Amino acid sequence: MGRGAFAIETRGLEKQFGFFPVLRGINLAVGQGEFLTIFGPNGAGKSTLLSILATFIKPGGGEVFVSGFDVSKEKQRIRKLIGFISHNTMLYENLTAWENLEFIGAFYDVPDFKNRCSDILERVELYGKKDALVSTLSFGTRQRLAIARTLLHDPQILFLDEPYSGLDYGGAAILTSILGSMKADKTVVMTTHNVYEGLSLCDNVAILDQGEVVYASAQKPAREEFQDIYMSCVRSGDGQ
Amino acid sequence: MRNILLIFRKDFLVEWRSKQIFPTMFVFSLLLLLVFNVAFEFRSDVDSRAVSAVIWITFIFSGLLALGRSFSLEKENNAFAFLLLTPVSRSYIYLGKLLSNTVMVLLSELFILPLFLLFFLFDADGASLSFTGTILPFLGVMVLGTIGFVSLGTFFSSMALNTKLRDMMLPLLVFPLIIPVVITSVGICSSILEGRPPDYYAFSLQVLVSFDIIFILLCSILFEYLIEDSGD
Repeated sequence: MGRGAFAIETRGLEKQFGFFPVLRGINLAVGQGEFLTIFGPNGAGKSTLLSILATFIKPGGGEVFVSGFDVSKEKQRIRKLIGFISHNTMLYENLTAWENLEFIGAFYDVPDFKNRCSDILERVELYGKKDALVSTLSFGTRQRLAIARTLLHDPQILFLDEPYSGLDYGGAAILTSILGSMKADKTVVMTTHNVYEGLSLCDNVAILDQGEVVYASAQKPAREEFQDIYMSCVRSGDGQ
Repeated sequence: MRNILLIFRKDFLVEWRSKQIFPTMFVFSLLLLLVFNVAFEFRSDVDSRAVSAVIWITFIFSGLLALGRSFSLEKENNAFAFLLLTPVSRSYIYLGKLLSNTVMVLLSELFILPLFLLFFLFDADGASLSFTGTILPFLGVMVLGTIGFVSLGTFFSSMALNTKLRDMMLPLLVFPLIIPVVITSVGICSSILEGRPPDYYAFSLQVLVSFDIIFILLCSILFEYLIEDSGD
């Protein structure tokens, strides 16, 4: 278990690549069991923010805590608690679905590992394809497998970077159903362009633009209202 | 140790199915040996130092092909990024990759070695090619030298993973640093082929072992810092 009042907290988070600032003083707090959806145009810094929270990359400045652990100093502790789903499946193409789960799952202490793998594959409706090479699977099926792999160690905190990207209707429905079933006991931070899916699942909403949080609300606005808010907040030219 | 073996097993499964690294290495090595053999006019009485240099040039050039490809396979679909998300120590990831790369390169070398012996050392008399006096010590140096250059190659191929000029960067980074390993290995192999007693090259052997230990320790410690921002 983690520590601290918030599941995720950033104070004055900054990051720049070369001379280009990507995140400028991000302050966010997500409580235990809350679902935050971050919207924003392309290049707003959403993926960079998730990459820092998931310990992929170092923060450039400020403080970042995940489950009370400092992302700069306690990465290994954080990695045991989190799961990450991206639009990029990050799967090994020349391994089967089962082998992909087996390989990554072996790095976590998952009790009753084989049954857990079977259960999770059934949950994403992929048990029948457990022996299929990933290279033979469609994108939507791979994305479902990536979801299964992420949930294998039952992470407390989930980071979802455009998870609906490329998913067909069935895949999107499975993901929505899984996320909906986890809402009660997991903390989720999701970035998406999909206003419908993003708003239907979340408790809190934030809009990121040019590396800054330009809107944050602890209450979920109505869809029509949110579109107006989004258009008024986002200064970049490529808003959705 | 379990984590290292998991990475090793995964790499072997991937290579077994993709068959990208091993056949490329073998064909490339074979072509190099043929070119050298033609250059030396198919003679079997070439100077032992030149012969040792030929085999190590072959090993290193084909080995670098394998090392570059090894991390390219990880880069596909960004699978390596997900591995970095797991709580496994970065040193274990490095050691796992080092083990699989070393075994793959050694296997390729074992396949190419008989051809090397045939092209350059086959003598109708067979006087200087005893198993215990020549082949066994030669295999020992081959293992030690391979560990030396693969340890640095694995380290730098992960570094070159995120650079645009990946294929060009790897040799540029690795070659200058493996020179001590290559010179030592060539020197020992040359002594073995000349039929000198083990005492003659014992010190060089100790130097080679020292290089291996230093490179592995240093690279496994520095690997974490090297891949810190690679998920981006």
